[in-house]
Amino acid sequence: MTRSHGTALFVSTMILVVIALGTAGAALVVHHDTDDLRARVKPVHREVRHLIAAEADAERRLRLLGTGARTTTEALAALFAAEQSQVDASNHAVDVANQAVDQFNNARSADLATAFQGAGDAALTDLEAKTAAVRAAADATRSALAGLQVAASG
Amino acid sequence: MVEPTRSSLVRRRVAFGVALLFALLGVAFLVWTISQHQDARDDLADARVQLANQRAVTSKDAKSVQHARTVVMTVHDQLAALDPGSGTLADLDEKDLIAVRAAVQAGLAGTLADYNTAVDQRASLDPQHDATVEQLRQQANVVITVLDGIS
Repeated sequence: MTRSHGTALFVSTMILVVIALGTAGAALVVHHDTDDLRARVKPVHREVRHLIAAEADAERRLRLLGTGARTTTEALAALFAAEQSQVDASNHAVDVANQAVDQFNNARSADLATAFQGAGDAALTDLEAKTAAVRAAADATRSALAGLQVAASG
Repeated sequence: MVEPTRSSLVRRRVAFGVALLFALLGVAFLVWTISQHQDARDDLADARVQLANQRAVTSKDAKSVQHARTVVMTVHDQLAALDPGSGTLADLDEKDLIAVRAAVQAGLAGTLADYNTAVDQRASLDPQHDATVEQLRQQANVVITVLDGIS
């Protein structure tokens, strides 16, 4: 072995030591900076999660308002339909009673009026059902209105 | 100067080998940390984009909710009036049923006086009934028109 070979080995070793120390130092600096970056990502993710929750809440409220509006509209339409049926049933029942009275007045016979018994009973039964339907529709309307107002105020 | 001995050369070679190993490890560690750093930067950039998008979506939803609430509040008075009005209408219909039942029973029995009394009683309900229905209809029309926008 020559002396120059030994010197070259020594110098190369020193260069490698410097490279090892330099890269290790640089790597530690980069690693530290990476930790800082990761620390900055966490609050951003937290805010995203918060916004997602707020969005879900807004969607839920919007869905409730839409459902409340639709339910109220349908309930009001049902109430007026039920009311119209009740009015028709009421007028029909009075017509039956009127015809019975007219027959009685003309013939002065209770038997003629009795001939309307079936029609009268049927008309009253129908009117009772239609009146109950109006009450049910009114209750449904009030319930829908309350639900809509709660959704709007919430 | 003294020529290096054989054992000295061996030590220098070993030292060179160890230094080479540490240098390679150092370079590998640096490459790995740079890669991690790049990933972290990408994560931060992605998170910021996601945050911006989420803010836009959340803001839009919040505006939609506020709009719907404002729409409902514009018919607050009509909604408040419809609540007792629908109950009043059902009450009037039940009074109508009572009067009509009396009229039918009187008619079927042939008792003209009772029939007339019942019919008069029913007729006396008409103005209030008609007014209630008309008022409800006007309020309901306003409400239905407005609510169509959000249902």
